[in-house]
Amino acid sequence: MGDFFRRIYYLLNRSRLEHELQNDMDVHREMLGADGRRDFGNPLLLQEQSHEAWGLAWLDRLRQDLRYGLRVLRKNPGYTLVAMLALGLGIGVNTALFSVVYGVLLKPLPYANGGQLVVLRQAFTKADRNNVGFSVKEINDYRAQSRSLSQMEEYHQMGFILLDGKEPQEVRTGVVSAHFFELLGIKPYLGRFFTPNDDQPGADAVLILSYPFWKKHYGNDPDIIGRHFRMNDKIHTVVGVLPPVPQYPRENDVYMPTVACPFRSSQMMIEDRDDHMMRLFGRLLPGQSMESGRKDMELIAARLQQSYPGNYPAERGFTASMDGLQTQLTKDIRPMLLVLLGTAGLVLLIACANVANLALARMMRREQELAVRAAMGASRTRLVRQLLTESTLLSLVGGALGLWLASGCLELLVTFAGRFTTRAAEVSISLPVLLFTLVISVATGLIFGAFPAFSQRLNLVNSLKEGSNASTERTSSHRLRNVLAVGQVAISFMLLIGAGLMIRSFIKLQSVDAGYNGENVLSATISLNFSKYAHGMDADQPAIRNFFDRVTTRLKGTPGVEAVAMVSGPPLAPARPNEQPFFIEGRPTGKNESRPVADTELATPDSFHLMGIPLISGRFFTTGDAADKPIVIIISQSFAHHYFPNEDPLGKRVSGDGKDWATIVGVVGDVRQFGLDKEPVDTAYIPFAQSPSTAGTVIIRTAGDPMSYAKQVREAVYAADPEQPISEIKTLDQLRGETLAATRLTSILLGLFAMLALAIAATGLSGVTSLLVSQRTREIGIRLALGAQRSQVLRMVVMQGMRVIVIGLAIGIVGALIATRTMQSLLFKTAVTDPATFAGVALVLLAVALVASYIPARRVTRVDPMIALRSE
Amino acid sequence: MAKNEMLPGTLGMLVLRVLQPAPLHGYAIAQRIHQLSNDLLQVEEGSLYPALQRMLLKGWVKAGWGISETNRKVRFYRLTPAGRKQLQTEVADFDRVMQGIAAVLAKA
Repeated sequence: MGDFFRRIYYLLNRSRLEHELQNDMDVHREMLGADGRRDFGNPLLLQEQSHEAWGLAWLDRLRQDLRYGLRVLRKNPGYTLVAMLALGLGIGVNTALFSVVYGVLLKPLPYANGGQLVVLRQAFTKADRNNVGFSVKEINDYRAQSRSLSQMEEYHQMGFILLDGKEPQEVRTGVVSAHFFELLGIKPYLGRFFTPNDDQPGADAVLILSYPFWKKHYGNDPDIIGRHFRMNDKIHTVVGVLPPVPQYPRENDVYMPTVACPFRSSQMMIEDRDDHMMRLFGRLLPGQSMESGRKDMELIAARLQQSYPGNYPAERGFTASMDGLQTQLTKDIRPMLLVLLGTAGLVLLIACANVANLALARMMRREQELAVRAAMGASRTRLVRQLLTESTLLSLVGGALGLWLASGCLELLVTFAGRFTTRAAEVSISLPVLLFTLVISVATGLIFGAFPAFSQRLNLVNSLKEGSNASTERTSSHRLRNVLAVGQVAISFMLLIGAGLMIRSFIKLQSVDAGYNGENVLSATISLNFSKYAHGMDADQPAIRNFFDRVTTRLKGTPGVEAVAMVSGPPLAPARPNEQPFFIEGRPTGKNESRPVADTELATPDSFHLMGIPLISGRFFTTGDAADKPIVIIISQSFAHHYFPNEDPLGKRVSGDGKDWATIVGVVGDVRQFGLDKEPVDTAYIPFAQSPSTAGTVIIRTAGDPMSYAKQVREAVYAADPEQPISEIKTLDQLRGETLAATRLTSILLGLFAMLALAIAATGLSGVTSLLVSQRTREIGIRLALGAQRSQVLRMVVMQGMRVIVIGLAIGIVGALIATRTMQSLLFKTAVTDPATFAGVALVLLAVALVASYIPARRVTRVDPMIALRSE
Repeated sequence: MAKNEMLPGTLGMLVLRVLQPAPLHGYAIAQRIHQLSNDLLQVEEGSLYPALQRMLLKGWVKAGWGISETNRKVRFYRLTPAGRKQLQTEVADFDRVMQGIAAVLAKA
């Protein structure tokens, strides 16, 4: 048995061993007495010395310190409560944010060697297209030529209609090449993944379900393998279920191989080098760096450009690159998370400073107690340790409170993060998060405990003399309190600026005129079953027209529906512009010159009026612009400015293919279709009747709450085709609200943090002034006795408090100017140095600070000179 | 050096030595050292018990229950093989130091 184990044995059998030792000593003493010899000595001390040999002294002391600390905290419930709350809130927000940062940014991907996984990217840099995807031909080229990647797999997302007896359902479908899941390095939960045979033309159609989809719709039924589902027109057999890992790049309900997608497997797409529909993922060969991988990609892109100059015109600046999958998945949320975590850190710092200040104030009242303990033989280290134990105890309780708070608001944060990354599902209070909380709790306790513990230069004689004025020490600890208060003011100013900027940006974003009026408008997006309403790549135009005619006609006859129209997609829905190159009649483009590009949107005669899009010149579509009539087009104002700056666009003709020419009949106002924070794109509106598409959105303006008409919309769709699901029913206001949600939540969080900080700092300032007043009572009494006006004295005290505030403000301004630079990417049309925000926040802070120091300062006016003079 | 004080660091060795023939309880150890030294050495309780605890922890002695001369239950300390070895080492070290000191005293 080693020394170490024996010590543990002693620890475990402590009371028995103590008892035995006690007995030994008793016998010893008795025998001494029997021999008529001198006394044994101090048995208690002897016993303690003997225990020291067991190496347990530190434990004894810790226990004593803890017991004493607990007693002290219980005896000061006010202080304990305030400190616990401040620390709990501070630690809580940090824990919550760290759990998100850890789950999203830090934790390795749940895939084998996730660091080797990359997302490939092609770009036409000079045409401002930074991520264009890959065509089938390009995928084959990269597969053949890459030297840095061991494997490349493609992916695209589609909506399929799943018909399995219940209501028809649109399922998000990931269409992937055979080894996609092997690339990720995951194992099937049930059944198997795809094999190269599944991805051969003519192979039996197979299907893999995602874990959440299987759980939700099939109740974890293990017999799902081998079941048949009708997807659009094909019968698919389920061959596997994915494990419950977050899916990248997007959440999907089911997966199918590329041959099962009619578009991807069409001859036209396979041969079209310019149809960049797919995304491409790869795994770096062992030993290959991201840098060498990027060089490899650039090289291949340069070769492609040389071989196919027509597809990659030089002036569009074609290039290819790659990014780590993890970076790519989190790049949208990273800046926001880091700003929030930084803010939370500052809140904790303020809480720390505040509690330290409270502790310092309490320290002055405890001077005597400590002096007595020192006089009784407690060493300085022992006293410091006692104080640090107390503060750490407090911060650990705060940490527990914080953990509770964090787990309470985690769900909110996960929803928030879910808007930016699928990794949000991985956020939880995990072991590293618990460790983080423990570490910051202990660190917090040590930091705020250190101020009172080390500020105290114990002067026994002075402290023991009751009522003496140990003036020198008081000044030094006073200065420390002022420094802490200055720090609180400075930090809360920085936080207020951060929140102020964010809120200002949010208000600006919210008040952006998107160019349409979405009030009382409901949108129902429908992706028609492309197996039924299209033949290969060719839409069955009469069938599509017929379907939408039946839906709109039925809706027009519904009471409460004021107008019905169709568009390709509702504004501000998460979508990307459908950009098409076009020719302008009479303006030939050179061979290697790129053509102008515009977003194309479908519209019916009523859609502009329904959505409140103003007519600038010309006319809207009419029912006369039918399929068999001359093709017409309406362009947006920015389109007109761009391509017809000094002439009237009306009557001019444009064409997508150079064969069919559409006449411009109208110019309408710009719409921010793809984001309030994005400039309107050049848009060409095409009459739905002349170019029907399988995907469309029915919009209705209603008399009352538009959402209450969702049922009628559904019925109209089922009446036209009982096997046709609706992808999404949302009001335009809802869609607009959703684009603002992230900014709103960030603003709310930053605002909350800032208010919290302001409240904490205000109590801190209040405390400083109130101490100032109580310590200067005698001096104030003398002044009053000598004839000073109470208002004068009041002003004097308040001004002294203001010094702290002004210095804090000055430091805060400098700090804010430095710190807010990191926020620029989060702000919409708001400079990080926005003078209005700075001025406004400074005023608010000054006002709050003034009130906070005025309230305790008012006490001086109640000072009775006689009592004040006698008080010492 | 006062007559009843001991050379520092030698108490452990003496305790081990008096335990070599037979187990003893705490008081008996002190008594034995006192007697064997012709009343020259006095063992302080304040040193004896911490020393015994240290030796227990090191595994040089073991404690077992016995009955004292006054008919009380008390622990008797017994030398372990490790303690025996420790005693030899300590005695050897002490001898060397004593020789050294003696040599210096004789020649200087």
